Amino acid sequence: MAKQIIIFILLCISTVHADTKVLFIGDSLTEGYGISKEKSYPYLLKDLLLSKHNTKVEVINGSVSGSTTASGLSRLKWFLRSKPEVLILALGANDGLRGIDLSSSKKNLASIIKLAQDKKMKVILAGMQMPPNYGADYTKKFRDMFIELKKDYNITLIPFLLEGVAAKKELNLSDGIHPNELGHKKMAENLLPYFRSLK
Amino acid sequence: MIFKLIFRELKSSPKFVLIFILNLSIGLIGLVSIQSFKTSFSDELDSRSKSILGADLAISSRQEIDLKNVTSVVNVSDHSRSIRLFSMAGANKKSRLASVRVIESKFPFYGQILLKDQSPLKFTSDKEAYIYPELQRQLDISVGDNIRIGDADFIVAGLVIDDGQQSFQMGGIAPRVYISPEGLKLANLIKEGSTYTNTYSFKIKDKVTKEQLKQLSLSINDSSARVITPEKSSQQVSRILNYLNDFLGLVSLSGLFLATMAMMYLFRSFLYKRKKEIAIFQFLGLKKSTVFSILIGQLFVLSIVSSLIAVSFGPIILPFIINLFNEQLGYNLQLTYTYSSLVLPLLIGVLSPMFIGIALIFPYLHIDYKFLFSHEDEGETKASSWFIYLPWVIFFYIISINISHSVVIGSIFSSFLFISLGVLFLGGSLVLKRLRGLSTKGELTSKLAWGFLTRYRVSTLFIFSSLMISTTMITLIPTLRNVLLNELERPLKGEGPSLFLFDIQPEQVEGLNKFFNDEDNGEVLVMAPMIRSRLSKIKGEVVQSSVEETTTREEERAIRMRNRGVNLSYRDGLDISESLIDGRLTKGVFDPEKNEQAEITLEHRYASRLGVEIGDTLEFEIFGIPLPAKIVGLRDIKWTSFRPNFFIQFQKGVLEDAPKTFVSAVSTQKNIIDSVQEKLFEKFPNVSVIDITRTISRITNIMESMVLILTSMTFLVFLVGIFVLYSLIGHQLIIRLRDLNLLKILGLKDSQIIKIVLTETTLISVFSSFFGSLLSLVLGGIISKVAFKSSFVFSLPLIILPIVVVTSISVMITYFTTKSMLKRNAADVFGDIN
Repeated sequence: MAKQIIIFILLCISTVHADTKVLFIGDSLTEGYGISKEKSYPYLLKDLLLSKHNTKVEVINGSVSGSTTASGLSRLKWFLRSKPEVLILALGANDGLRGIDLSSSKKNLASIIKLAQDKKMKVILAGMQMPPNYGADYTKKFRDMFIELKKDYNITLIPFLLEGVAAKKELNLSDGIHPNELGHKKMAENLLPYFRSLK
Repeated sequence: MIFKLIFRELKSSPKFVLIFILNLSIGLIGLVSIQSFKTSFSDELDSRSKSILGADLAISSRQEIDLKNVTSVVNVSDHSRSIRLFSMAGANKKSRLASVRVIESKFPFYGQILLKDQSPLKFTSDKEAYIYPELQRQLDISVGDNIRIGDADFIVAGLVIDDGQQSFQMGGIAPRVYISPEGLKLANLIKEGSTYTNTYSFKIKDKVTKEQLKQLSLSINDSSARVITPEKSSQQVSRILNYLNDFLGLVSLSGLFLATMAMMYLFRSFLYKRKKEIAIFQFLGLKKSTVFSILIGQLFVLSIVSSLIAVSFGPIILPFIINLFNEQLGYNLQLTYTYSSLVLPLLIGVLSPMFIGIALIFPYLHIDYKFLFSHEDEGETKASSWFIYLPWVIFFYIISINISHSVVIGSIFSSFLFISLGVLFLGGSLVLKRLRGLSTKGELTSKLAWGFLTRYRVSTLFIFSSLMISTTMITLIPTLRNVLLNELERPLKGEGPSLFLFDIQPEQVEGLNKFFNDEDNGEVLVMAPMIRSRLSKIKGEVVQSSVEETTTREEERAIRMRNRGVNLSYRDGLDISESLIDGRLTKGVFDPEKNEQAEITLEHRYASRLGVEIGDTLEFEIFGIPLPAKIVGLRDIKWTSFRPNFFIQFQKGVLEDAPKTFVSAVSTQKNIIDSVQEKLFEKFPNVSVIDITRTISRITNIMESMVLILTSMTFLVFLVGIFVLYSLIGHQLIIRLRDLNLLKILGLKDSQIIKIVLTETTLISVFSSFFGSLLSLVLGGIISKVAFKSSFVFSLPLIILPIVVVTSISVMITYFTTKSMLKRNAADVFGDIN
């Protein structure tokens, strides 16, 4: 119990001066795989919001490389202790890449959104797209999954988290999948318009 | 004059010369055979490992590679490009993830992709697809049916049952589909935004060196590119090849030692026989240097003839033996004549006698020639100075390192031999002096037997040490074979894992355990929690995570690697695949109220990469929360066990509440693996499953070759050992001929003489083989620990058997040889000797 109190206090300390607490639950793209934590798009977005919109946010990055939608709910439950007000849900890419049954992915995302809404959080869903090599049918179904969730739960949808970044050699690490520092900068700029309402 | 004397001396005792040459040749033939077989086996294993990669060199990259960067570094004779990508394969309204492999018709350069009907994969049309049987079952299709990949429908032309590189990586999560480059165009899978990996496979004219590999890595501007050689294609194969290389080096050393022991003994007896001639030469007023030249000249002639006979044995006899091997075991061993199988034995055969000769001849030249006329054996030890053995010791040390290709193994082996021989001669001489009293007690036969042993102390110690070292070599090789099999083969046999599961959610752990253990779907071997974190501080120093300040590509690559994060775990005690090598395990449950840091244990190689030791601190960041920890222990992990393991293990009570997933290794019967995977897909759709049975079967194939090599070489060393043994005992009896006949003339019965000789042989062989076995235990333990870094495997039968075998053979040889000697007329025997 004492240990949980300490972890809770630590979580609170890290967010004590925040005006708006924004929780990111995502995968390697949001965790900042291969780059320093400070250069990942959640932290760049925080700086942009302050410099361009004078909006102070506190970032809680609960992203894990390689994670699928299945782990999202338990992570949200864990971070609810720090009482976030906004949830950026950026999961699903690994589900698609591993060919996981999309109906189960959709169900997982839905349960995360539902819990967040129950806790009165604003939810922004970061949409993803599959590379064309997965075939036209599958890529369409995958894209539609996010659109359907937006409709079903009336949430804000970023159509494609990697808009203008995917497939651009200069914006990605040498693995061709994960954005580099420049890629994350571009992602932060892409996301900025969706945060105006936080002002 | 010297030449004349050399040849006159040799001519005067043709029988001795013949026996000497024969015995020395046997020792060297052993070395030649071992060296030749070693090269042939190495080549065979090399070609098997090449079939895993299908090429001499492969470069995988997400980017296009400029071939000029490769051809400027290595001598390429052919190359082929293949593409790997994931796609959804569909049929019968079902779709499943497939790992699509696009290969050109000339790939693979080595080995083949084998179909279920035992024919090799060969595209006859652009619309053909060859699939893994798993996909056939998942999509419920048969050969001849259609399968949709991308924009095209393909015909399933065959089922792939055995193909190239299997890995633990992402490719393992989906069954493979092979299509041609033209088929890829039809499927239209490569568009802007497609993710795929190019693999360039090369056939190289010369062996790729480490330096060239380094150059290649630097010339390719892609930090995620992998430059792979057959040895590096899998950690297991690499380990097998490394171990085998060391083992074969040891086998060579054993061959060398066996040959050397035979040589030492023969030269010593050669000089003993020449004692009288040395005295006569000195008595006649010949200079010491002339006497030395005559003796060393004789040795040179004898050793060069013996070495040439031994070296010619390779090309004449070995092809028949290799053919027999190929026919019986379906192998394709090629006999190759190399420096190590021809030139090296020749050099050893010629130079070694010279160095030993110098050491053995000198004492004879520096003592009163009158003494040489006596039958006393003592003089040698009194006159011997150890430093005259130094050139031979240095020569032998250099050869040991050269032949084993390892400074560590060569040094261990040669030092061990020198120390053992030193201790034996010093200690043995004292013991034999003390035992002299036994020659005055008991029966006549016993008195005479002990009399011979204690009076001719140097002779006794020479034959004793030769038998002892021969036994050590015979026992050591099978002992090390067991160590290697235990290290490499055991983890792949029996209850090893067959499925590897990851992305298991905490709430699914119970269900999965139930699914496997309760529903007879297999056994969960490991279920390990995994928590993602970043390493933020090492010994209080902040870890650099920004690439902006880097100046070199290697630096940037290292930082990017660190920024990928680390996986943490916790468990009770140790897994069977790991052992604590330093410090201690974490104690109890972490108490945050105490002002103490959490405890961690690290995998020892990871610790040395980070430059940390026990007592140092590391700080991790888990979801923004800093977590300092103190290193209390270092672990060694057998990564070949295919069990999930972690570089960093935390004390209990620290990470339990953190968001985590689980990884698991499961053992499932081969015949139900497909149905288990299907059920898992339905019940736990998010859990990714890798079937590692194919990987294990590939490794097992290589392993079988290794087991055969280990067994064959063990047998060969044993055989050589027996020959040397025969040579030693036989020769020992020949030089005893005079004494034995003297006893006969003095009126002793044949049965009494046989009893005397058998008592001597039994005493020598029992004790020498016993000490030889003990030495092999010690040497085996040291080599297992230092060279193989493996746990020693003790086997009582392996220790007792050589004692029984060496003693029995020695007694048998002694019995039959003595019996045949005694049949002859004593006067004839004296005539022969003189």
